[in-house]
Amino acid sequence: MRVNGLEAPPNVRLVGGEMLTWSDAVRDPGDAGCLGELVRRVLPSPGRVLVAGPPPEGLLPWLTGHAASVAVLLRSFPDALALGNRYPGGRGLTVYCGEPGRLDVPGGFDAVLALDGFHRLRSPEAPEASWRETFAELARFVAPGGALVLTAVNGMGIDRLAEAKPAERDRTDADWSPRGWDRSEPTGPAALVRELESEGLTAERCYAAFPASGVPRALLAVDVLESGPPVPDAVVLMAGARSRGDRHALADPADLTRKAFRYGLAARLAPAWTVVARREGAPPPAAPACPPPDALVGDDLCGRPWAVVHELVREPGGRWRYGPSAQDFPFTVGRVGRDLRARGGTVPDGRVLDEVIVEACAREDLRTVRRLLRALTALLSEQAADGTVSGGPVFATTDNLVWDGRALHLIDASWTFDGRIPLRVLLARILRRFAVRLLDAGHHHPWPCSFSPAEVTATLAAMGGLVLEDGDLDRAAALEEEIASALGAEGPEAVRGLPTYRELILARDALRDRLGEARARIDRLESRLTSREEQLHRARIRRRTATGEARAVRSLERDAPQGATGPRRVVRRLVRAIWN
Amino acid sequence: MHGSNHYYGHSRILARYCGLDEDGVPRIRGFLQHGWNHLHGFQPDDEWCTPGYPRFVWSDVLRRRGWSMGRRGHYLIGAPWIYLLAMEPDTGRVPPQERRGTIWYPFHGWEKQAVRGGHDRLVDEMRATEGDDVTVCLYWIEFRDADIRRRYEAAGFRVVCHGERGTRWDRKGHDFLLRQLVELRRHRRVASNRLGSALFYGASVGCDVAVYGDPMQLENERPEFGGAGRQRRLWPELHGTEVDRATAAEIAERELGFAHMAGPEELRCLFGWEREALVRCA
Repeated sequence: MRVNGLEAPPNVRLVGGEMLTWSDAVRDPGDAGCLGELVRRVLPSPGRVLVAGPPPEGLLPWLTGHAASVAVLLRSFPDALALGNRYPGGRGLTVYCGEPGRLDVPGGFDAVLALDGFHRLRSPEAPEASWRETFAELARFVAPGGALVLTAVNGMGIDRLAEAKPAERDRTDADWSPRGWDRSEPTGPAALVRELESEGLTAERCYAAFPASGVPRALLAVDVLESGPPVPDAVVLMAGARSRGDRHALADPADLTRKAFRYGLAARLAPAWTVVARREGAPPPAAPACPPPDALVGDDLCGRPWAVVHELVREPGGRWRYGPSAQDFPFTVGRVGRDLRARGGTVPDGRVLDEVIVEACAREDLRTVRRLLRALTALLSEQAADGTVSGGPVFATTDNLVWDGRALHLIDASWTFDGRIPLRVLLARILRRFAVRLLDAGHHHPWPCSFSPAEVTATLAAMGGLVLEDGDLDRAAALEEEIASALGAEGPEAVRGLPTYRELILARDALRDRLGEARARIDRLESRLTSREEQLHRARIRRRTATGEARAVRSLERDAPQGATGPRRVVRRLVRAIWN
Repeated sequence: MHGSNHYYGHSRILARYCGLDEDGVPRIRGFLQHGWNHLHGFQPDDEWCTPGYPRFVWSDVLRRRGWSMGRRGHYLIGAPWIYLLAMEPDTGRVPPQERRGTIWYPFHGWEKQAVRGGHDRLVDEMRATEGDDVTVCLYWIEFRDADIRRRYEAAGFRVVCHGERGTRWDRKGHDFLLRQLVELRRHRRVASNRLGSALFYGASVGCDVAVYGDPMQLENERPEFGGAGRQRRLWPELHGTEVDRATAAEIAERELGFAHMAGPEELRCLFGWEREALVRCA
């Protein structure tokens, strides 16, 4: 078929309502992450699959290898052509291009995946459809016994709350129907389950997706979040978002995420919910061997091949442990390596060291800061030989450690480093990362506000019992760069995105304080200067007096008759009276 | 703002609807969609639609498509045709049993783009489907082409033309839509080889609709339109020699924007005609 002079491959079928000049590819989510892992676990042999909307690229090779057939529904004609050409005939992939309402596939599908919600599904050719209408159109494709994996975006999610400029106010070319007004969107996990039931589907498990919709990095089962003991901070840390990207934020979403977990609101305020549901009927071709996992969490701050999705299981006693990993062999890039077998079975309890030090700084509790930093130095020293450290402790950063009130424990011990790092340099690297984040986030701290990250780092090292030497910070920065480069990630400075609105206000307050201090210094210096000027003035007068008096006396004396002493006394007295 | 605002007597119809003298029609402060299309209501090269002035479009799908293509400032008022119908409820109307034959609109080019296709083959298809009672309505360019006109006349068909598109400054095209209305109301069917304004106008006044035959090719047709194939995919129910009348009427109502008809006061405000009218009266 030829459209617009372009030859569509035979596996691309136009169903009507296609967008000829549109592309969603620029916003392609890329790696499937934990959503892909969820699909692999709950649909080990997915049968006939329909992927509604742009598919995560990382998932397609697996799907085409495991499913009986794969169909992808795209609204963009250029994207459909590109995908059709990437998976030419014989590989079981069909691309339907157009409006969901115009797709008609007799018999439906054994699995329908709408992992990205509905916002990239509809084309302008159809009248605006509500969430419920679109859901009904998709649900009809789920065959008896078939499964649906669906993501629904939460309009009150943490990411929305943190947005200074909400996406629904952007009014981009994709917003021909304004966002944020659809009252049929599910308002919570329970509402989502009710919507499923209204279309004859039964929810198997619903997940809260963090830190943002789209390609979430963490999926935590809602039933787990809403029952039993609180989720450990180490798990919350994995779910939290670091502020990055080009979005303007009101507040740090990671901070909001931590609070949502602490207040028991994580399931309600999750940026999105992903649900696994099935339709009653004949059993699926191959039912999964195990139930959907409690949680799936992807790595942060590293690219491939490091980014691994971990399964987390909450044990009956409330402790969290890692599930089996699919990637159980060690791998290395440069001097950095990873062995997931060394990760440890249990997620440690306790508070993340980062947060504990930030709190102590906020309280100006330097005693606690010293105690924590000495514990950190001690932890590193235990592993040191001849003043150098190697292996896992290189990754004992403040955001990879928890403090249980007595000792520090590594959260993820799977990282290794092949090479010996001087203890001072390693501590400088760890503390510099912390200092950059502390200052960037505008947290209160007890050190002069004019202190640079390097000065704070040196001070923290001294509090921990080590005095940095010349060159240590430079070597720490080089080490940071080497690790970041190996991880395919960015250093702590580059990771920061745009400052949040709260941070801007804090930064403004800090500048105001700094200006106040500078003015106080100027006032003090001016006062001292005035005092010195007065003293100088008086000294000059005294000097001038003394000089003039002496000159006058000398002159009179020169004119006085030789041998006359009485008049000289008179002259001196007279001159002094005049000059003073 | 642009000459196309005055094509087919559109501005005059709207001026009359607004209570103004249609022969002294003022400038419209915006850009009026002058024909049905399945893009965004205008040609792809619509840079002349200056941002800041409204684009007066016929239906919501045009607004949605236009928005997705980076256009903004749409204002839905429906087609000038619906205002003409409101003002001329009975003109040309004949009892249903007296409506005869088919008025056939071959897909036409325009002043800058010719159409390539076989008229002879089309004539054969028309005769095979419609019989002899056919009125062929040609665009004025093709109507002036004696060769093309002769092909239809030789087949025994009545050949008409509704006139030129016209401008603001002459009376050409001032009664284009009125003449079309009269023709459509006396015919039982309206047919074409591509979907177009005339088909929807016909469906809106009770004609049966048919779309068949060689869709022909517009010279250097813009890819944004997607060709006749895209029309078939979007409106498969309107293609064929027999089309459900109710379905056609429903789609015509949507495409011509009956639901978006504005009142005369609103139009006067939008078009900037209040001030113009006052100045002229003074």
